[in-house]
Amino acid sequence: MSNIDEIQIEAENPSNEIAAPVAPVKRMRKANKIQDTRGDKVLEGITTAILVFLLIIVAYPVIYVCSASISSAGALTSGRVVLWPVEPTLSAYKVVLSMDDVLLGYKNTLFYTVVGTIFQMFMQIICAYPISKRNFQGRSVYTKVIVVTMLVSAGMIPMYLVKQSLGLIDNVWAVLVSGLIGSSNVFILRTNFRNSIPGELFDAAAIDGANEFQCLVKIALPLSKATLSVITLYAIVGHWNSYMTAMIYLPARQDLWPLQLFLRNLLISSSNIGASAQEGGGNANASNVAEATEQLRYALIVISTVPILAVYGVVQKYFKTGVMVGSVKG
Amino acid sequence: MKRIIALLLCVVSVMSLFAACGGKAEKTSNKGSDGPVTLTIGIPKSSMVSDYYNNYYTQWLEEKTGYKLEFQFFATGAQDYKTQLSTMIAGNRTLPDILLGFDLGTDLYERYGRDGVFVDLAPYFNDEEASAIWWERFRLTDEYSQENNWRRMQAADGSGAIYAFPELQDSMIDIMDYQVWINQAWLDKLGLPMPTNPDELYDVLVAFKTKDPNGNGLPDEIPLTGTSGALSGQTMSWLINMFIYWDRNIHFNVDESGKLYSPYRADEYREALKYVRKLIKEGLLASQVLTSSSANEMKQLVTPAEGGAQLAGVVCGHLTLCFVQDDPGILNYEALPMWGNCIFHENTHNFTTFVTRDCQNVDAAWNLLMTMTTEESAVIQRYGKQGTPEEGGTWTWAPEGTESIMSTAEKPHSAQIRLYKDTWSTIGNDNWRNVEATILLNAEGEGNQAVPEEETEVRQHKYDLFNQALANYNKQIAEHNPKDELICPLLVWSAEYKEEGKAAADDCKTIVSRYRTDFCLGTKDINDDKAWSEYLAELDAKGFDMWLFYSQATYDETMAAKNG
Amino acid sequence: MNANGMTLNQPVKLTRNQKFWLRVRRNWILHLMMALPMFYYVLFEALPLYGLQIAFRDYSAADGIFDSAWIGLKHYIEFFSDWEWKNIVSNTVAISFYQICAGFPIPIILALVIHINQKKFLKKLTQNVAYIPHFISVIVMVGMLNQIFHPQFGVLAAIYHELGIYTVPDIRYMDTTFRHLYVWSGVWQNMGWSTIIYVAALTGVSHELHEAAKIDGASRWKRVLSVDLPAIMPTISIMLIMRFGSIMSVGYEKVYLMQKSTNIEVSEVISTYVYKVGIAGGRQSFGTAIGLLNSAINSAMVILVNKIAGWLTDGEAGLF
Repeated sequence: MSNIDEIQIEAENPSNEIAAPVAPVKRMRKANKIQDTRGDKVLEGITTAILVFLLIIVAYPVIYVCSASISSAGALTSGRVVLWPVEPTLSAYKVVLSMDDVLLGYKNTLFYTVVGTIFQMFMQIICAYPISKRNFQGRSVYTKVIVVTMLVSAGMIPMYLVKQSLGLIDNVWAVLVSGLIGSSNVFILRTNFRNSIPGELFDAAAIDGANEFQCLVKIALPLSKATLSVITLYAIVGHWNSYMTAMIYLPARQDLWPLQLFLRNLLISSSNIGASAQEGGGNANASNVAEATEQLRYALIVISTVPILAVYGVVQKYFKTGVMVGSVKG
Repeated sequence: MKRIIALLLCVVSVMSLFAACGGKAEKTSNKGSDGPVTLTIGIPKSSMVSDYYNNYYTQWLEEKTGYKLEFQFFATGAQDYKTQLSTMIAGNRTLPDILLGFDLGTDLYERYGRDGVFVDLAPYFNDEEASAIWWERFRLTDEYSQENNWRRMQAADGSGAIYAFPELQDSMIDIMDYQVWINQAWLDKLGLPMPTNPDELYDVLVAFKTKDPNGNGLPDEIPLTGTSGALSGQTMSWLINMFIYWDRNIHFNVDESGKLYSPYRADEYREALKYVRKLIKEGLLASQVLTSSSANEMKQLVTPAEGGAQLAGVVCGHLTLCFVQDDPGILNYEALPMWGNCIFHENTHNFTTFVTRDCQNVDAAWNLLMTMTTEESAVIQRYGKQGTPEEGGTWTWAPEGTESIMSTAEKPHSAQIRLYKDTWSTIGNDNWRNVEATILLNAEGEGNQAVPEEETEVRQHKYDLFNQALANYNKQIAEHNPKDELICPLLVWSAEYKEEGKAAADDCKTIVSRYRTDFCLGTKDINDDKAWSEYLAELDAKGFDMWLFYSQATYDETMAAKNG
Repeated sequence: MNANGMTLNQPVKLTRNQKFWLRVRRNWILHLMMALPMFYYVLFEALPLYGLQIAFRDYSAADGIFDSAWIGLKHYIEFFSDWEWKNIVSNTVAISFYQICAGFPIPIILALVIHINQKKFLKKLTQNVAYIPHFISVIVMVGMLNQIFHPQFGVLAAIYHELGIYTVPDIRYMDTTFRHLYVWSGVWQNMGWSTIIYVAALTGVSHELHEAAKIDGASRWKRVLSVDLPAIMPTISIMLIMRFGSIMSVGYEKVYLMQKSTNIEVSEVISTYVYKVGIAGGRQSFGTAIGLLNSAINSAMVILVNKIAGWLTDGEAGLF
């Protein structure tokens, strides 16, 4: 690992010093050095400007949402909140955190995210490792199966019917099993195992008498930390934000609904016009169903997004060492 | 350290796995033999209800019927619960006994009815004894809508089946297609008289925009604002009806000789669109008019920011939706006199309650629905717990002869209810925040409540505004609207006609609405004759003749049945 | 000794069958590893394909899959005779291509920018902040769009007000702006995320190559063009192929939330249509039929692009 760190440090601080004893070359080098510096300076300026611009356009809406969630309701409805909070108040948070549904949703989402991610990573790893071995006999067959299933997807209703016949409806397994293996993730992992880990390492291990399991656990996984953390983060975010599977497969089990589903119910209730209003014949959702307030919404938004950001903050340090997907070997 | 964390995670997840797998939902039996009858109600979960079980209305119902009520919650958004329902039906899952508050649309629920998913309730409606409560209430609703509603309840295939249990809310205020308020303070400041026709309105709007009536030195006034579909906020309907009679649900008018014609092809309609385009182009009409249907958006525009100035000049929308409760800003507004046609809509009549095929005891379900239809139930659904504030309630019956806020010297009204607090938009467990499967009469509506003991100037003004608006409306209907013979009633096509002509009708309606949007926004030029004839040609291409033909046929039949 | 434990004095001919099982035995652990995933694939990817046939039937839950009437291509005929179908398909294709053209190069450029830039603090900050929008769920995203571009109270309006203009167009719902809003908000949300992979690939580029280029006198910019870019080509092509694989899947959720009567002509895509008419509208087999069409087009695209990528890079790149 330290090798890679060193290389990175060097890469970030290229030294322009090159030892050469010949005088004419020195003069030429000096000329090159001047050109480099100017060109490089311009490039540096441009890239810095781009990055600053990026920071602004990304940070602004995020700050806005946070500010809106702690601004007073009055300030929000009259649009006075521009960047910073106006009339700070935690009342929205108090209401939101006292809603039973929110706490229940949190618990469920945590469960789905943790368990779902573990299952997903496990399955994807044991799926990717064998097909990354070039001399694995069934490699092409298995790969073809994965590819075919990736291309053709049956759709919501047939999938529902299958799960139904397995008795998974209204059962937490229906959600855990959905999207259990992401085929594209499998390919990313496979490429990583195949291209970024020297085959010699495996050969050496085989000579020492290690079986494939040990190769996987002791060699492949530790060397793939970066890719693994990326894929894991993909999985975590996917599970955290999902609501559709729970909505369809757990209709009667409200005690298993994730946070995002409650959030959706709250946010969408007032912006959704029912069928009869579209037909022009009624205002079903206007006068006979009550609406939620703006204030609550922003608070709920913050509450449902902040934890996942925290997780990301913890996991992201593994990215430093770099993901080697199809990189050229020296 | 990492290993400990990993181990902990594994333990936690395995434990919760077992916990989650444990409880499977079981459908409780509702055979009356062992214990009380249990009914399962499927309902889109409202975030405004803190607890459905420990709930005043639930307990009231259980007490009155002796049944036990269980809830199965669905997602709140219309598309969401429709999806959930659709997948459940596709998978042959057990549905709850009663579906409450599912806005599926007539076509969809009638299809489900024909497929046997929903129970045909016609035998119950036709059984005098079983449906006595409902009929009694129904006959108290306004007569003009009784006929329409009864017809709409029937299945379109003419089989006489009734698949949906209706919810009818009569309220003179709510069924006004548009309520329009004008900022009198601004009129006074600029020394302008109340406008009485489109041109005068235009001048007033221009003055609002250019002469800075809110006095803050910025041209930030929004002269005219409205929505595209919020309650009593059908701004386009208001504007177009200044020029020609147009009922947005009927699509046709009748001429002297009894033949239907379409207002969408008339020159007056074109004039109306020109007027709207002019307003939008000159920044006098906020563009939300075509896209927004949310009450929150309206409130944003109308309520002045703290220490800020008022922004809205003329507002089209329901009073309670446009103004934040008890906002003194409302004192600046008066009702705009109407000079165009005025339309009432039975827009509070919804067919969103169904009894499903999986209900074991349809008699019990019917009994529950009858209980929900009673007067007391209807009022509880709307206002919450009965009782004085000391008793923890929000409303009581008003004694005979109590003056209502709608009362004027010429037309005294007697109130039925005394309201203490409006809990509709707050989170609570007093009712389901959903008026469903019931009939709420005009007399029981908020507009007819008893004059409160403590009156604020703001509230008094609010009632005055309602009265003004209603009076203006009725005046127009009496004096300006076309005669009854020239107004086309609601046409309910037979299944046969639908088969032949519905596609054409739907296509034409889509064309009409798209072109209207384009003309108003300026994407297509309303002043360009070529664009106009293109529009007419497109209508013809999509089968306008068929639409007209079947509508005419239905109209003739309806008239014959009426007179014959 | 050969694998059968027999000495080489006697050449033994193994039957093909025996060879096969020999190899299986040798690799039994790997096969065991594949067992669970394959079980999953069969059960949850292959089996639903069986139920796909309801696309050709008039599915009714009461009759079940096999007893529902067989109607062949009737659903497709219905779809293609709806005058809207051209609009729907062209919207889907246009938005997809726009998304790819706008959204694909940007993370690459961004990764290069981060890689080139020398200011450590800025790089770290940007990398950590740019990923945040990805975590925002779609409802929140659309809500933010609505608020930011609000014609009276939004940020855009505030800018207009500063310039003295008080008649602000409502760009949120115009048909001319829909595609731009949709695509660029998507770019904003996802660019930081995709950048991870490219930045990581760039840091993995062999240092020797950079040294060699420096010795040859290449400027930083030239080094980017000649060393960095080719090095991450395989990554780029895999990502591109995967993008193409979902070309016809303009996700319905965001579109549905952004749809209004004013922009529906340009915003109705296949997925919203399938969802509204098919699933939510209770016409399950119709929805499945059109969904299948969508899926088929996606597959064709993936296979096509994969072949092209393989052909362009001489078999180096390519998903399969």
